[in-house]
Amino acid sequence: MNYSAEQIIALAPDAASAKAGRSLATASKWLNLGQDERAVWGECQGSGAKPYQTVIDLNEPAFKCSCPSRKFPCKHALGLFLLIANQPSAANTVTAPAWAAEWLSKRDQQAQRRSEAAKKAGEEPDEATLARRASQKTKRSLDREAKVVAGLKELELWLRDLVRHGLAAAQTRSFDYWEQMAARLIDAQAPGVARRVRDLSRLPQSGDGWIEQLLARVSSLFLLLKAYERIETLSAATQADVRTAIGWTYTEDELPEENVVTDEWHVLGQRTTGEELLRVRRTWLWGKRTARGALVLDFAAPGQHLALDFLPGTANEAEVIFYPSNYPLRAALKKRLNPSRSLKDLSGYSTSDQLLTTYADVLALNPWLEAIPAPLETVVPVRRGEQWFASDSNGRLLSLRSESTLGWKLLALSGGYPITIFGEWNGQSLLPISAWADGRHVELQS
Amino acid sequence: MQVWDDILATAVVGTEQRDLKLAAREDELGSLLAQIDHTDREGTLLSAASVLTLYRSAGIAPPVETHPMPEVCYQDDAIRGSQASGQHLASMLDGEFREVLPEWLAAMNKARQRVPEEHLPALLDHGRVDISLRRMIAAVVGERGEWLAAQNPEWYYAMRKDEKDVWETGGREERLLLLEHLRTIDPTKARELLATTWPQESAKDRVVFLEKFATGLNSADEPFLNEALHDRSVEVRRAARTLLAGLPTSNFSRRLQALAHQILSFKKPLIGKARIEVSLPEDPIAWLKANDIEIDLPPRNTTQSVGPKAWALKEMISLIPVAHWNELWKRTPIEIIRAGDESEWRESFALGFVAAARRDRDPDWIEALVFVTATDPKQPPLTELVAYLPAARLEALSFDALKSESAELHSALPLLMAHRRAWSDQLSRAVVRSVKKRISTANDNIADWQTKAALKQFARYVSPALYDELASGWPTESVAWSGWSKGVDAFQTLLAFRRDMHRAISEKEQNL
Repeated sequence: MNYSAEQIIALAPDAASAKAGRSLATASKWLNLGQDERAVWGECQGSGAKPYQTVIDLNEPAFKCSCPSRKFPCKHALGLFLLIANQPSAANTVTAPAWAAEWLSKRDQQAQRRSEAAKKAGEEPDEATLARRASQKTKRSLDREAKVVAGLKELELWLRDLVRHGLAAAQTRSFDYWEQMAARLIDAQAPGVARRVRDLSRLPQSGDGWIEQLLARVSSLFLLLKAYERIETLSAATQADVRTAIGWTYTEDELPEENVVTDEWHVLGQRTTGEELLRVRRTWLWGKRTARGALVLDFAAPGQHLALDFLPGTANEAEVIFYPSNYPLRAALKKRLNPSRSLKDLSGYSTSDQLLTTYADVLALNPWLEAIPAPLETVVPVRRGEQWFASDSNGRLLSLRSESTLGWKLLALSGGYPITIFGEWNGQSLLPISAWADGRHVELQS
Repeated sequence: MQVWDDILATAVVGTEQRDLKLAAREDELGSLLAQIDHTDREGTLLSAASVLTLYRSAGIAPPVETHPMPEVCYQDDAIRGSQASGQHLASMLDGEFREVLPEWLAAMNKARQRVPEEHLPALLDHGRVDISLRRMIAAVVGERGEWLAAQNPEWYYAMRKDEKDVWETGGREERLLLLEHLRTIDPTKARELLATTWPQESAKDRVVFLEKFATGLNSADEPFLNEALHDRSVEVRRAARTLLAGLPTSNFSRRLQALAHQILSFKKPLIGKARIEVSLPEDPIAWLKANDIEIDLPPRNTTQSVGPKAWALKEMISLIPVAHWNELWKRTPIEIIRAGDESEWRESFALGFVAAARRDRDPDWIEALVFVTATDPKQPPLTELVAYLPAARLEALSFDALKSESAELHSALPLLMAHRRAWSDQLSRAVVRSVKKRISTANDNIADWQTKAALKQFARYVSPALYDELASGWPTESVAWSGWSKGVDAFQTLLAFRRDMHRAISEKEQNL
């Protein structure tokens, strides 16, 4: 069992589930606890007459519970997982009961079917099918292309109007001023640009330096429009970056096979954003041998659960497939090669110079990239007034984007000694996501 | 940077107001900017801004630290508590099972384990609000916690500080906590500390500080208390009297005892009941005053009028150690209590004995008072006094009560409710057994709210090591079960949490 309680808590869909899970993490709540090399199972007495049957496939991990909860993983799965993590002796090693074995073998069959389907997909369909599919696809994409062109035209006029009247006037604009432009871009099927416009709306109220910020963002949008105007002159990878920034997405099966990278992927940390409508989990990986970062995004609409492929603080030998980019960062899990194991330490940038040089190189490759993974070795958290910084081995101060409790937590972990902090670097400040201190990994955003 | 400043200046007022003129530059940036179509005013601004934004972002240089780095934290000999312990703490700070936080803190301290670093800020924050836990928190945060506290004024309490400093500069609450703590470990030091500022303290503070002397009270306190006996504040004088009364060999107590001998005698006639005879002077308050003993004056404006004689007698009795009477008259407390009851001044005796027994925490007297009042239907029972019994006595009494009337849990309830310390295995078993019995013999499911409420509290004190035994074998088939299942579930959950919490701490100890 390689999972720590913290990693397990990080899987909880919300704070209430985490709390409920903790209170179920006690052997008395469970009947017929058992485990084998692959899985752990048990029955939990709920409010109903029949106890809920919960089983966890520890390899992934994956969960199954007979309770009616729509949360995933449910409190029973979390409770069982925590119980086994805290007290492995609670479950005897026995043969799985029928209900657990059935689910596990169903998972095996699904995996089998998926790999067969993948093989089949690799086979060429007949030419007529191909041609029909291609023409449908071309029609759809041409329609969208036309909409985007029109939308971006409108945006350009809007941007020109904004700077003609001066950014100082932006402070007097109503919320609708920004929102309406963003909404029109959504209609024009350019959601990436729409989000960037929407993000502008809170800048005028963001305090000192807001005009510089606004100008930087507005001009970056302009650069994107200009790049799109002459997209056919750009390299394929840059084309992909422009299209991604505007809002085109790729499905995983569209990703070219040559983008697969096999490595021991270290899970640096996770951060979940969004609440009601769509939860997005950002999982940052770092390849041990390739020394490159990767960002895995998982989405969950209400009633759906976030994928649980990677647990923070673990190492995973796996194939990962990257999305096309001049600086490929976004990736998806292709194939796990070994069960994950927990990670004692982390390598990263040893000075802020290395991070900043990388960031400058990345800007040259993809000027619209919003953040890069920044594992920083040997930094000391320091506080100046109300602001927190990470001081590197050369005494350079990198600004930390964190509320006060998080800063204190980092300081507590450090004790004045250098630690490793992992965060997202956006060119100006670091959003801390996890830390390694004294051989321990601690998630900060959960 | 000039060119950026130009761009920004134009952006602020708008291209309508100000045309952007880009000065020629010899460098690469200059050649890039030269490619911009200058006839397009807005386009020039936006293009130049996008180039400069990237140029500036790529060249960002973080400031260099100019302040000296803070001193690093000392290494800690204490071992870090396990991750599971950290989770337990996080749950409690989250509000779940918070009532067992003191128990957890004590267990961590006893095992010499320190709180995992990432939980320190939340725990230190908790101590800001829950002042009573501060000392326990400070004991488990380790070097790291103290190092942190030195950097955050809100956590100052967790720092090892000079006691004199705290005494001279601390707030009232903090000073009281210090005094209380010192009285338990070094009463003389506490007294000397208080003496340094005694004349400057307000009357209100003098009273509360002096009251802390009840802890660790000893004959070395007498000179200080004798002075306080003549304080200008009536409340301070009263507090000093009460404390001196708790020192049987003090001059004050001896003088009072001698006066009492003049007016009281234990009489056992050949036939009939024993009784304490009283011969009070006409004006006992004046008589005491003449003998340099001050007592409180009877309250005025009360509906229940108390005569000055009854009042003075009650005051005298309450200021004399209860154990004194057994020694003087060679009688048991029960005999003395009953003899007082036969007297015409029975009210004075009853109230005086209770006050004195409570102050002296005399287990024999407390048990006698509880017994006498419990077996006499004419008197209100004094069960609340059991809270003043030492743990072992309370434990034995509770156990007896359960044994004698195993089906009737109610008689033991007040004892058990007062017994707010870890219970022995024997008592834990007996209590749970009788709760189970109560549920299984109940023939309806009318809520026994008293026992149910008690069960919630029992979960905090029964022995967590007996979890398996105590959590199993509940009479789920009983007709009354539906009314109990929720309460029993809460009992089991809390007990399981305590078991796990202690287990996490002891496993860490064994894994070293």
